[in-house]
Amino acid sequence: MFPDPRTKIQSHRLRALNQPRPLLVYATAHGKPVAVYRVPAHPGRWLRVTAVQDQWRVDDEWWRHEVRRRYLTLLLEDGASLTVFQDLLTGEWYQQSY
Amino acid sequence: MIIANRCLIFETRHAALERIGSGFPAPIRFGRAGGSRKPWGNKRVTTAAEETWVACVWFPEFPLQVEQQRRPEWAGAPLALLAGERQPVVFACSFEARALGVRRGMPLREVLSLAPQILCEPADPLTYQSVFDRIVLRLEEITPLIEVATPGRAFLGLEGLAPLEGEGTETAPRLYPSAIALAVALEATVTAPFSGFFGLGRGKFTAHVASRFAALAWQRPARKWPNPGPAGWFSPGGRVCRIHAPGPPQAVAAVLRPLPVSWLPVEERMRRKLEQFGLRSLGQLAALPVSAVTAQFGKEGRRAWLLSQGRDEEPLQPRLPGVEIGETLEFPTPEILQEPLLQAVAQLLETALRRPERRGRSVSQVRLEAHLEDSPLWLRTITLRRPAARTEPLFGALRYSLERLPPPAPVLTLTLFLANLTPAWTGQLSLFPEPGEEIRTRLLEELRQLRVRMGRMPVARIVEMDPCSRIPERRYSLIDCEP
Repeated sequence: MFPDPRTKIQSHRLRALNQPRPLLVYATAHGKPVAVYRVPAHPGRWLRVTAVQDQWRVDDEWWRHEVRRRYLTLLLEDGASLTVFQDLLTGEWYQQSY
Repeated sequence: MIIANRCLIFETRHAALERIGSGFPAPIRFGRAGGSRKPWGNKRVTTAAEETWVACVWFPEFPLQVEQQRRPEWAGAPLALLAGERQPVVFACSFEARALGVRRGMPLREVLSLAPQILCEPADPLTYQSVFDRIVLRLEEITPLIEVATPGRAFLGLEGLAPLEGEGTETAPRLYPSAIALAVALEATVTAPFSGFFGLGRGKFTAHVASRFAALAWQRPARKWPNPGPAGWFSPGGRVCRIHAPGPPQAVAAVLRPLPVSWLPVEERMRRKLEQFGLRSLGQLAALPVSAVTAQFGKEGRRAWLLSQGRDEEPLQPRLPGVEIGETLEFPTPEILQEPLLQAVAQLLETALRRPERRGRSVSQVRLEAHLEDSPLWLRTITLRRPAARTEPLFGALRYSLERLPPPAPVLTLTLFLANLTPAWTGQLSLFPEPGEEIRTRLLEELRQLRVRMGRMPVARIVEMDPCSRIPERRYSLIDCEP
């Protein structure tokens, strides 16, 4: 009946950059990656991991949504370097630059 | 006889001066000294406030209703909400807590000694006010004349909305064809999970009593309902009651006579004192001379005496809802660092200032509202000494306030309101444009055209959130570039 003089609240959202992307990784029983799949430069092909150049862990925000990740910098057979991590809570592998 | 007449003149003149001093229009009254006033020509002149039809909306235990909506597991449990940091006292308590002897205003140590198993939680008055404001927005669709008394109680002006005197008594066209239709419209504004009741009456106190009648009748349908007067009724939905007693004003006093003094809108201290004097009902209070009540309780006692007579001289003071512009931003993860918060505030401010509703108007007040993680609502209001329409002075005031008193917990959602907009531009423009201003204006125009063409904003900008975070996706975020 009586129009509301207040205007509608417009909402915005911040979108995080550098979100992790799922990745298919073939790893040994000890968790050492042997080959990776669906790398953007070579779609539909398994690339062998030549060496693990670096490895570190991130354990954070245990009081909220726990984050437990094992990051690895891999050297692939075509000479490319790739940073991946394994989510230690779910066991899934992701690609993410660090 | 001459001496008695002189005393009579002194009494009436003094009473009239007292009324003028209180700011209300002074009705001319002539009568005997001592309170039992005989009206002039056997007709009491009533004030405009007493003649006005008012609706009272009342949400019993509104803070508890809000808390139980947030935490459904608390329903049915003895719960006490506490206020005050140094010496917490009970702000509100549930029915189960009252059954254990807990009362409002009781100190915490007394509560724990009475009921050790009671659930004690801190009150969140800002959230209750915010939730009630949203309810009042719905009520403003019925009438714009709303006075908010407390979170959970408000008074609505009903003049001109419906024929409230009775069917066929008013010939002027009204928005609602009947009082029942108005009652149905009022009931429709209150939806689950909140439970509210409406009372219609002449004057705010009568309307408040009617709302309590509606609550009583709703809660005890099998028992005898309170009497709302010879022309009063309860709505078909059961949540609206009208108190109406046509005829002399004393007829309304007859409806109020059996009610307890605890229903009077007075301080707790005065209520206890009335009970200590053995005055338990409004009828007992009304039977006393007004001079005795005023001598004992002062101005508040006089007001209580008038209310017990069914005379409410306090007019409705509706709030003035002005234009308010709001922009809200949701963080992907709770944010505690100051720099991302300031960037978010700057973004919201720029977007709000570019809203078409703000064009040509300056801002006098800025309000920040934040939903915090596991904490009550956080609110900060900044009133500017001089209205401003540019980003720099507004952001400077916001920055100073945030740096001085930042939010105490990580922020989930941040909302910025521009309020108290002035009607005219009060800033001074520069004679020479700033360097880069022309390029910026052209860029914003191109962005506007892109958004119109594509239906959404395809351009975003990077905002630094926490560049030193060990989790890479927490370092930078994208936000739409609003032109």
